[in-house]
Amino acid sequence: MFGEHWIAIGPVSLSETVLTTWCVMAILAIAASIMTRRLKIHPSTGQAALEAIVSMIEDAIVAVAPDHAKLLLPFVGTFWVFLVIANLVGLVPGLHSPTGDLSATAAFAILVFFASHWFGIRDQGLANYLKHYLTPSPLLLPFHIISEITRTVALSVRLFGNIMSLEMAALLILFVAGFLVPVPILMLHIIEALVQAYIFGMLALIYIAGGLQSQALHSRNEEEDE
Amino acid sequence: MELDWTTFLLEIINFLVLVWILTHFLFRPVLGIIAQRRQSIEDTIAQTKAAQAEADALKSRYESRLEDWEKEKSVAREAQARELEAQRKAALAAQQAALDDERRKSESLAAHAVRKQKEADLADAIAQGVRFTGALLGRLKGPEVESAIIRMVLSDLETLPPSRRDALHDAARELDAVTILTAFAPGNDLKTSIDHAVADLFGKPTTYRIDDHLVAGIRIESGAWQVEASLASELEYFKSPGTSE
Repeated sequence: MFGEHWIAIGPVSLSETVLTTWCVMAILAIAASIMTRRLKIHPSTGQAALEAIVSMIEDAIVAVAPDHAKLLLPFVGTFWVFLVIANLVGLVPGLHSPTGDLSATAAFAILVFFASHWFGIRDQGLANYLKHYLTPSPLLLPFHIISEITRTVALSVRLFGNIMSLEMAALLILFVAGFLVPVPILMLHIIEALVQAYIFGMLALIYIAGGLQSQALHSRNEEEDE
Repeated sequence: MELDWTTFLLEIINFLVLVWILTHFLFRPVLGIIAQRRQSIEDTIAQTKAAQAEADALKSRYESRLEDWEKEKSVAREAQARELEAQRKAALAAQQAALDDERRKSESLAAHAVRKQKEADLADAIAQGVRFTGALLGRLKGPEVESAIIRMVLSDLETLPPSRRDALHDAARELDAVTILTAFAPGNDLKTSIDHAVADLFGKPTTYRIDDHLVAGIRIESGAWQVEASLASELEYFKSPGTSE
């Protein structure tokens, strides 16, 4: 049911996940464009709510990586905004959450994986960044590598598993118990969608911040040792 | 749970596109307006602080100025008080001087009036004395009084110093006789004494005449020289000014 190919354009076949993602992207782009078209110094209620959401995202990033909040806000903020909407799409009858597809969550996890390295190298340089894999001992390098791989896999599977299982559970209950019985599960779906979006975004932020601050932490430890 | 690489790649691309979209249409405008508001608030706070600082400075300046004014006022009041005191003292001194002048004038006028009164009283006293003496002497006049006066005169003539005697003698040199005026006709003895005294003093004979104006007494006329001792002349002497001193 997830990742079914609906449209084929030449050799490229587009899955439901991609089409739903595009719809979500279009909705977000249109909504963002409309809501930010007439921003004023003295905000309306809608603008105040929008500013509150963006400020909350910024504050969360500042709490983890205070020196790189502006740099990380677009990437991490986009994860939070997109995942909340993408997770909730499954509540719409006939639609499935893109995050219930392992291909999508793996793509997001891979993005986080590369982003953490990209921001770390960008901030500290390649040599300095790679040094932290050899600390506190070069013997720990395999474990660092295994950690990078497993946390990326865990990131993708966690989101996929939670969202997919919620939709599966609701579907099974619908088949077994009948109409309206899955409503409590759907309520749980809302909470779970928000929680999973928050967890994914927060973990992505922590991984990226870890890449940014690893060498700085190593330098500080060396200074303390001296 | 299989991995579709097309979906995988497209989701990566989709997410990166969404990052760009949300950056340009959501995060950047919202963060921009928040930054503008924050800047506006900071500007307002800065303006408020500047206004507060300016107000504090103005307040301290005006307080300082008020203190200066108070000091200037107190100094001016003291100066004014000193000036008023000086003016008061000057006015008092002028008033005192005027009063002293007035007092001196009054005293002078009073003294003058007293002196005039004294003079008038003295003149009245003298006049009354003269009237009284004249009345008294008028009642006492007679040959005896005149004889006593004549003998007193003759006695005085005998005691004149030689220079006066010579001068009287020289004055009568060209005269034929020395005139003797009396109020009453002298007796023979008295005439003899007079003749001897005149001859001794002037070296000339005598001629006698009666003059009631003398009241009682004698007048010896020798040219420009006259020797008189009479009640009339004494009364005239009392009447004359300066006799009281």
